[in-house]
Amino acid sequence: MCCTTAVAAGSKPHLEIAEKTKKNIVINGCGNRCASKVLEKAGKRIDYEIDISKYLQKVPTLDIYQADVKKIAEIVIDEAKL
Amino acid sequence: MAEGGEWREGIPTHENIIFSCFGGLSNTGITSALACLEVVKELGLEKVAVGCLPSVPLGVKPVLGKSKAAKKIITVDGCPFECARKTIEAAGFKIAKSIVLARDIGMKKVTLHTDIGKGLGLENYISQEDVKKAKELIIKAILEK
Repeated sequence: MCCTTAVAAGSKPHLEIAEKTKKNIVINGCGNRCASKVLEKAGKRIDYEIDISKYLQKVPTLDIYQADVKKIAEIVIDEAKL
Repeated sequence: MAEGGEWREGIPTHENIIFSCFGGLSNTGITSALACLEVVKELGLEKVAVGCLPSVPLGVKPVLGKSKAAKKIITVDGCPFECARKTIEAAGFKIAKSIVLARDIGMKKVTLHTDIGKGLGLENYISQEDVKKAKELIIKAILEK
């Protein structure tokens, strides 16, 4: 997992990681797509992106279900072809 | 699970906001993330929530609004890059307390690429003792007058 904020801040090592990696996989929590926008603004390619609110209801709570986490992980592994 | 709903100005919001660097490439960034979540679990969402840091430089209005309405903004960075503090300051917010885990609880940063070829796994690099120390420091910053 790369530090999204470091990419937004223009940190050279993090930008290089985004450049050199085989796949940049972006996981957004909601439709604002902040993580994707950060990469787009930095001019880095996005090989796969997901907005997990399409699969889970966005609610202001910390009642996070392990089954939901597993479901999203499986979707990412499958769709991003990891 | 609770019902959702978009926030707009005037609607009650969290009393304080924490911004974690949430850096997943090192033990320090992940410890910051875990400690911040533990703080929210302990104090409750009325008292504090973790803000979406990447949305700040992008100008996402609900996040900026909630940050503006917060009594205190606390940044929790894992390492001396201080990405969270710099991002929040660049957006014009006043930070009540900046915590850097490498400085304030003496964490030694380990970048996770060093695991390549060893396969020890993420858990091997995270100390629950460090998470606890970080959590206590953040809670102190939130509760102090």
